[in-house]
Amino acid sequence: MIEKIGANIREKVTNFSYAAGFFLSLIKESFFFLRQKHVGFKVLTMQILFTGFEALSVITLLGVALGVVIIVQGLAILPQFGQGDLIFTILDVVITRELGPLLTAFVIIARSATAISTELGNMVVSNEIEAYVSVGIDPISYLAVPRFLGVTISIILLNLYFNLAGLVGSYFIAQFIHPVTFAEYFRNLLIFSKPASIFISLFKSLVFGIIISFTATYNGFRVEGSTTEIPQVVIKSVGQGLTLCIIANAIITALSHLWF
Amino acid sequence: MHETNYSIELQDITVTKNKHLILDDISFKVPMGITTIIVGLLGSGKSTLLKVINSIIVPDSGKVLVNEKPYTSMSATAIKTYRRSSGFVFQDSALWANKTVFQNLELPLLYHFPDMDKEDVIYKVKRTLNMLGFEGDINKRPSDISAGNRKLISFARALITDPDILMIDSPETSIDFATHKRIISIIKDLKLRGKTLIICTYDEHITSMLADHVVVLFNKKIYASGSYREIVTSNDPVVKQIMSHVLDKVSNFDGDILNLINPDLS
Repeated sequence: MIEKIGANIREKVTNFSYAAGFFLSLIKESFFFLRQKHVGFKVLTMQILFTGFEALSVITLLGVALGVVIIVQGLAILPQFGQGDLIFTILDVVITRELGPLLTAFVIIARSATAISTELGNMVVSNEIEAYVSVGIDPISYLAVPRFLGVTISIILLNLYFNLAGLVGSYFIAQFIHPVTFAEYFRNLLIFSKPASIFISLFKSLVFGIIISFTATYNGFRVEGSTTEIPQVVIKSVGQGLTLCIIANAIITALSHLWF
Repeated sequence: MHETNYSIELQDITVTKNKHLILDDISFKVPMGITTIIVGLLGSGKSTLLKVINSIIVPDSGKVLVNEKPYTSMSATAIKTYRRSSGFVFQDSALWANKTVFQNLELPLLYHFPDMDKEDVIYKVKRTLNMLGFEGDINKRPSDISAGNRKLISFARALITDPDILMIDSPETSIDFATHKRIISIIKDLKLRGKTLIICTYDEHITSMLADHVVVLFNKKIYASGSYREIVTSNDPVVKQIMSHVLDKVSNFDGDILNLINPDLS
């Protein structure tokens, strides 16, 4: 019994130190990657195309839909309490600070984290990773770093786009349901929005990008040799990505209330 | 004989996978400039040993010394130079599935020679493929070409940087008769050019025609190691069994008959 517990703890410590080592390599290689004329730039471009560009339609839909719901519900309820202007604070807090980064992260987890873990897992099974090592190409530098950077850059840009769709795009849709003058809407939005919200939102996206790309690449490489392990690591990527993003979101929100 | 700047030595190597012992306390110095054949029964750890020699697999314990220095303590630059000088042909070809044939060969060149002109890269890729007798479409992906052609591309990828040392894992696997003949002639040519070849194989033609040195794996250890003649004439029952399995009972012949077959062995 004690032996079992000891072995379990030892395995957990080993896994944690392996993950920490992988994370440090990822950060170190990312700096080298940006400084060098690297063969992985094409992989980075493809990752930004897949994670960033191809997710634009989903992000637009989500951003606009969320903005419309807030505007329509807010304008219907808040004026009854004499708090009509509160709608702009709610838009700022909900879209920019909270749900913008988080929903963008969820979309990236569903689309890209799963794809990255599956692709890397398949590469391990078919010995493609060993083939990279055999020709001298470091799999972390060539495969993980472009995905790490690609996902992180894409999530930041997509979050900005989500904000644009949620705050601007939703205005036009909401006009059909609850007309508000254009000048009044944007003047109030600028007055009631806090500049710190944009900083917090982008910082969250940066952290979420790092979490998602790290868990996806780490779990992908953890496959040992069987295709049946691939769905298991994909589930782990999604589970760990979601959990860590939600925890990070709560911590950053709590800290931001102390500082801003 | 072709001079290589490298020496490779394994010291007390042990490898386990999923808690199963694969290699047990193996020490071995790779003979340079000649052809070494690794033989053993199914599941004896030949492929794992070859991957450890190439430092693709990190052993659980023990060291792989490259030029008397542990591989794990070599600098990134030294590793890059070493990798350019050593190639590996995988049993299942292990081509990069999301790249075309051309891109599979282009990548090692771009990595090792980042300043090479695009025209030079194209020329080198086409020349290597012509040399190996590949006549397919270089814009196809590995899944769209035959297993034999995939094996040829795997050879081409390993040879594109003109390495001094080449490790080949079961070159006879999953190929047709014509490709088999072609691959034997490629390996013969590499041997004539004095490359260091380390091959694990079951193929009696490759072993009998090309082996200078033979390593016999048995029970997860190096059971016997020596010149081809020493191994095929050994009276040890385990060596006899393994060699007869590989060489279709050639080891049952006595030394005199071997001399008649190939007088160079004496």
